[in-house]
Amino acid sequence: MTPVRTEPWVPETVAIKRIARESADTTTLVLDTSARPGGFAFKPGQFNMLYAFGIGEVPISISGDPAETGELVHTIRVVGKVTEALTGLTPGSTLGLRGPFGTHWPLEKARDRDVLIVAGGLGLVPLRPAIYEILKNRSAYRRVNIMYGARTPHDILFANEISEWRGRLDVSLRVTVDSAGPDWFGHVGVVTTLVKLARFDPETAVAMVCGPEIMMRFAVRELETQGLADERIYLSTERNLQCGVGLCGHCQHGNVFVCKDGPVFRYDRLAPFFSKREV
Amino acid sequence: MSDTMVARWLSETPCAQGLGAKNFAKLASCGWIEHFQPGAFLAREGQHASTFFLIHAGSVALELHDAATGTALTETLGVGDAIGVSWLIPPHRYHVDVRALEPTDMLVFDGDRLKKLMDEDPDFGFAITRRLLARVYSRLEELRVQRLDLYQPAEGRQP
Ligand SMILES: Cc1cc2nc3c(=O)[nH]c(=O)nc-3n(C[C@H](O)[C@H](O)[C@H](O)COP(=O)(O)OP(=O)(O)OC[C@H]3O[C@@H](n4cnc5c(N)ncnc54)[C@H](O)[C@@H]3O)c2cc1C
Ligand code: FES
Repeated sequence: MTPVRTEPWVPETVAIKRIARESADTTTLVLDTSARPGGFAFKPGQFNMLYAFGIGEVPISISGDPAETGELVHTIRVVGKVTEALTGLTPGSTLGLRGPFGTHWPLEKARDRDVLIVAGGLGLVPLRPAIYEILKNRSAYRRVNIMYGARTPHDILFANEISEWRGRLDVSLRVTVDSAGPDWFGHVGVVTTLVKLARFDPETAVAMVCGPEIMMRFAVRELETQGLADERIYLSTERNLQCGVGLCGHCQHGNVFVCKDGPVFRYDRLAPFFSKREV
Repeated sequence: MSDTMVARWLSETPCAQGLGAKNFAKLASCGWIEHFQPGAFLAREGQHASTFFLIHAGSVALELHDAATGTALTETLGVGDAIGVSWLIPPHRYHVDVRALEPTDMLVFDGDRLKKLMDEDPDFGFAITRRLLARVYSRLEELRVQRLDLYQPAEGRQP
C-alpha cells in the first residue's frame, strides 16, 4: 500500500485509471487513489500539484466528487509543455502528485442560503466538486442557481452532467455561449447576463465565481449591482504558482499568498490587487 | 388586445420603472401586443425599422447570415429586454435578423408615432432616450467582454 506523504515537496506516484476527452483541448484524467489509506480526501475548490516526470509540475484543481475518495479527477486544458505531457498520458501510466492544497469554497457559509455558482470556461472545473456536494445535500441550501458560460456549444465541459443537472426540478441551471450556429437553442451572450435572470435573496445569498479574470470582474460587478455584498462573493484565481505551499514567494501579492491563502478568496480580501495591472 | 393589457405588461418591464404616469401613458399609447411562434422573424436585416419591441415572455435570437459560413447567433435576449434602436437612428434599418426561439409575447411600439411624441415633448423624449441609452450601454459592455474571446488560452485571444 502506498504510504501517505507528509513531506509537501515530495510527490507521490499515482497511476492513471481512466481518461476522457472533454473537448478538442481538454482532457479528464482519473487517478487511482484506492490504495492510499483512507483514499484521497479533499475539499471542493482545492488543487493538487501534478508532475509530468522529467517535464515539470503544475497546479491543477480537483474536479471530481469529494465523496469518491478512491479516485481523483483532474480536468486539464493544454496550454503548454506540462499540460500537454499530462494530457498525453495513457491509462496505466503514472504521474507525480502533491496535495491537496489551498482554500476551499464556503459551502458551510452557504448553508440555508440561496447559492449562485457562476463559471466561465475552464472555471467550471474547480466548481464541479462544490456542485456535487451541494446537490448531494440539496436540502441544506435554499435556491441553487448554476450559471455557466462557454465559448461555443462544442466547448461545453461535462455536457452529460450538465444535462442531468438541468433536468432536476430543484436547481436552476443556465448555460450561455459566446457564439453559436442556428442549431443551438440556448442562450447566447456573456455569462454575466445570466446573473440578471437568477432568483436569489441579495441580502443573504452566497456567490462562488470562477473563470478568466476579466469575466470574474464583470461577474462581481453584476452581482454587486444585484445587491450582493462583497463579503458574500467568493472567487478562485489561477495566478501562477510554484511550490504550492507558501515557501517560495512566487505567488505573493502584498501579504497574500495565492497558494495558501487561496485559490478561493472572499472578494473583499482579493479586491485590493485583483484588478491591478502589475500583479 | 386591450390597452389595459398593454399597460399591465409595460408596467412589468424594467424600461417603464420610474417613468411617471404621464410619460408611461404616452409610451403605452404607442404599443400593442403581438405573439410570435418559434422560428418566426420579428425583423430582417436591411428592412425598414419602424418598431421597437419589449419581450414580455419567451426569447429571441439576434442572427447574422453569411452565405459562405451560414447563420451565426450573436446574442439571445429574454424577458424584459428591449430590442432595436434603429427606429430612432437613421437610416432606420435593422442590422440583424431577429428570430423567436420559443413562443414569444411582445410589446410592439410604433416607432414613428413614438418619435413624433418625443419631438413634441422633450421631457418624454429625454426619459425614453435615457432608458434606451442605458440598455445600449449595458449591451455594449456585454459585447465588449464577448468579443475578447475570454475562454481561449491567453495567447489565442484577440488583443
Ligand atoms: C490554483 C490553480 C488551479 C488550476 N487549475 C487548473 C485546472 O483545473 N485545469 C487546467 O487545465 N489548468 C489549471 N490551472 C492552470 C495550469 O496550472 C496552467 O495552465 C499550467 O501551469 C500551464 O503549464 P504549461 O507548462 O502547460 O504551460 P506554460 O508553458 O507554463 O504556459 C503556456 C501558456 O499558458 C499561460 N499560463 C500558464 N499558467 C497559467 C495560468 N495559471 N492561467 C492562465 N494562463 C496560464 C502562460 O502564460 C503561457 O502563455 C490552474 C492554475 C492554478 C494556479
Ligand atoms: S507558490 Fe510558492 S509561495 Fe505560493
